[in-house]
Amino acid sequence: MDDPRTNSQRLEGNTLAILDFSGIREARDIHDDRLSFLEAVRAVSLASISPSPPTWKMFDAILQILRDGLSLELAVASFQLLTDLDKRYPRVYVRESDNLGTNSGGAGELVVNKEAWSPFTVRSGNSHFEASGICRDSKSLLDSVSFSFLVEEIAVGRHSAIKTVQNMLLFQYLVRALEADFLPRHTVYKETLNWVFLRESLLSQLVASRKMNYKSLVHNCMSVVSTRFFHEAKICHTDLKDQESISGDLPQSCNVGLPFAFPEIQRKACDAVQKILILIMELDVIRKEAEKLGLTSRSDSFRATILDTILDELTYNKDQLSPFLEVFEDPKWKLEIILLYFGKYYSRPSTRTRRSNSSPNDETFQGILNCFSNPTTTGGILRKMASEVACLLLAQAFKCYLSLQRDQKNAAFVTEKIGGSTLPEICNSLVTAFKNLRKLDHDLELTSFEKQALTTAAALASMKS
Amino acid sequence: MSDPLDFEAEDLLLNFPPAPTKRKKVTDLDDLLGDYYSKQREIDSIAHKKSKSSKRYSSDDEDDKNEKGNETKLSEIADECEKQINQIFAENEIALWGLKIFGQQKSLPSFGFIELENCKLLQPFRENQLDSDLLSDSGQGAGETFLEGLLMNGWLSQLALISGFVEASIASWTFYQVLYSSNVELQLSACDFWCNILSKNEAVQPSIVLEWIPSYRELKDALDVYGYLSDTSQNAALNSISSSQVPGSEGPPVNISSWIKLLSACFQIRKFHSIFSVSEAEEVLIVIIRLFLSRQLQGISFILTDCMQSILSFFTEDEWAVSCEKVAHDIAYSVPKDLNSLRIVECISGTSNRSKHFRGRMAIYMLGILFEKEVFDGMGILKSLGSVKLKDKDTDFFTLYIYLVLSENWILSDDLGDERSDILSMWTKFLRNCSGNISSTDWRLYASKVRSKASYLLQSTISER
Repeated sequence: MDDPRTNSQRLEGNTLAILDFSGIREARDIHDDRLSFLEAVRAVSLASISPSPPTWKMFDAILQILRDGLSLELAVASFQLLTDLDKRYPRVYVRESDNLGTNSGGAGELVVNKEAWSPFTVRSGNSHFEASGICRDSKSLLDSVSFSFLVEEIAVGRHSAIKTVQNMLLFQYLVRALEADFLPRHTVYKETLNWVFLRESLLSQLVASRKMNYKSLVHNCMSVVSTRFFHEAKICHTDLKDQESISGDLPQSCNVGLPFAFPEIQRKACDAVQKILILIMELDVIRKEAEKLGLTSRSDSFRATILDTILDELTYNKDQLSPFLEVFEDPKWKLEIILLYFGKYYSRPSTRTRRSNSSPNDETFQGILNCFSNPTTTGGILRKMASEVACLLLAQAFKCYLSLQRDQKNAAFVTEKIGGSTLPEICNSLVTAFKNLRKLDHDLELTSFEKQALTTAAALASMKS
Repeated sequence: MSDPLDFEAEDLLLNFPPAPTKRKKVTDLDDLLGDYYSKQREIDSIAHKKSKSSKRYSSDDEDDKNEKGNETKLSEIADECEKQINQIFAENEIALWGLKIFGQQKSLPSFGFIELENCKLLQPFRENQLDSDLLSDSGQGAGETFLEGLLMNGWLSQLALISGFVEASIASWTFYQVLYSSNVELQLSACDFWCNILSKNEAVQPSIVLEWIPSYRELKDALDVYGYLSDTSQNAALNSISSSQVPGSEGPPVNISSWIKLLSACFQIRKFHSIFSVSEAEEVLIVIIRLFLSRQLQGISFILTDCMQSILSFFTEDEWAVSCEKVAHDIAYSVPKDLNSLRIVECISGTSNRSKHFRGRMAIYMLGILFEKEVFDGMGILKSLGSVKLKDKDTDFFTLYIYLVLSENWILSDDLGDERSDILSMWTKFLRNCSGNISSTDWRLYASKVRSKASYLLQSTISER
């Protein structure tokens, strides 16, 4: 019996030998070899009765295939393999404490597997990459620069269909990796209030990196979200039919599935973009909390919160407001954005100074609706905000409210952000608000989304009363 | 006897055809291939002795002749090599995996929506006492276009979830949109609507009352309309279809992704609405596995994988014990034993015990057919495998490759019971034969693939012990 280390080295050499291209004749051979390599890793690390994790070099090779594989088949297979491997061998997870009986809080313990491979190389003083003493110079790994470059490529979308698909799959995988690293830390933080856990998260290191242009990352993410439909039309009609965009050395059948895969993968990628925005928002919340508790230090470099960045973007680029809110799905954060947006234009007369930081955002949806409850106050708001924008925001906020109020889990959040009103009350207020807006602006044309909001509100009000 | 001199070794090299795609893999296999090389060395030394003895008796004249003879011999060999190479390149076109799973699409079935005009959900929309001028231009009131808008913007799900009830007309109408609408956004929204609603009913208590639920019949009819071919025998070669393909007429519509997702959702709600009987579930499982063979769907294989997972978990333990064998048997009989059969085995990629087991059963059923043995006769199958002649002139290495991969999958995911050690030792012996007895200079199709695959498997089998 050998020791496991030699064993895994032998496994590594043996598996990587499949990828050895020396003397290879054609693109198809390379393609076949890559597929056999992926299949071999799957067999050893997942399908086997006694599976063992791939080594770092093997992981690097899989990621490399995802980054520059020649075909849709390779892209999908490597993506799927990486995803499955991450599920099987998590880098970070919460271990439930053993003494369940004594501790009713059930605080789990955060387990970080420092030996585990990661698709990122993030430079950081006490990062475990350096601590492990293993040189990570594989060019397939991503740092903050290549990550933001990837987002930019997706946002601009000037590549061939197959390259775009690869980029979107890669991005989706990376966001999953960031999320899988973040969520357990987040859970444990909630119990222990130990900021270090989150400071050391991949996400935090990634966005804190000085090399990354954080603003342009957010900008690109937002433009992916708000141009989803336009993008789709552009690619489908030109690229998918364009045979030259597909690697000429391979049989056409290797990429014949693009028209089916494209809309699916694009939807998933758009979800991933929203996911990363939300993750950064969650990180910001904790960071603020940690700042209040005095847990942060100078090593946590300063960065504007993502909500502020998004709001700036939406304020200066008004055309983006409607498409962004239409696609951005998370009701909780969408409501937050809308309330903050209103807050920018309308603040109730109060004695609060600008500096007071205690409750920067105490607007509620009901509070906003109340402002539209009579023509006078409505007119006050319309002096600062166009009636079209007001309608859009109200309709979107109403939809967020509907999604949120169903779930008991959100009860606290709903009370805090909506106010104590019941469903019919909210519905009626919305109808009144729209009527008042109409009274002040006779030319107001409602979009179909707003009409649907209005009729839904009317229907619900009569249904529940 | 002293070693042959350097220049003599060079001479000898000339007599071999140029070394082809020799892979570096062998460097790792010294211990394993030791015996192979020692044999080779014996042969070599005999050859050297011969060449020496022939030289010993040659005079200068004869030397000249010999040289000339060698030259002509060399050019002959070179010609021969070239011929072989050309032949190999011609033969090299082993068809990629892929079957024609979809033929011509059929015309859409007529679908009478159940009184969509009078549905209760839209009642309040008609009766609402809204300011008519707010909604002035929505002339059609509560027609189908209006409903489409509600669906696409997510209001319909909100209404259904809040009221906890979906009436028959709405349910069947949205279902029809999923299966047949050519408006991609509408179709995707309808799919989201259904998946959303069905997922709410996975819990202990169904939270939504569905007045109408889809039946197996509807899903099957849709497949029919998409042009699904349930019989593989009439299959044309893949390459010929892809070239003559007219977009839109051949192959499934894009709705197929939604069809798969919907199916997957339907399988997760066994508790409340049993949409499928066990035999229907088996049938659907076969369909899903066959869809993996469609090149057009290769980019959405992750949706297929998810769907297969939810079908697998639909069965109870007892049902699965029977159904697994049945499905594996049926598939094994219907699929051609070429790269398609390998694709089938590899697509069962889940990491659950059921998938692993299923994968192994699928492989052994295929082996059973290939060797005309019963599937419980593992030893018999391995014996047949061991009796394949490796040194024959007409050894079919492609078929051997299929045997090899199928056996690998069977042995990897089956605990093999009492016969385990016997089977493993026979397997190792077979692998040793393949990696040792197939010459690295064998240029025949798939010979090198068999050889390197066997070396790889041998290596990993040994390191596993």
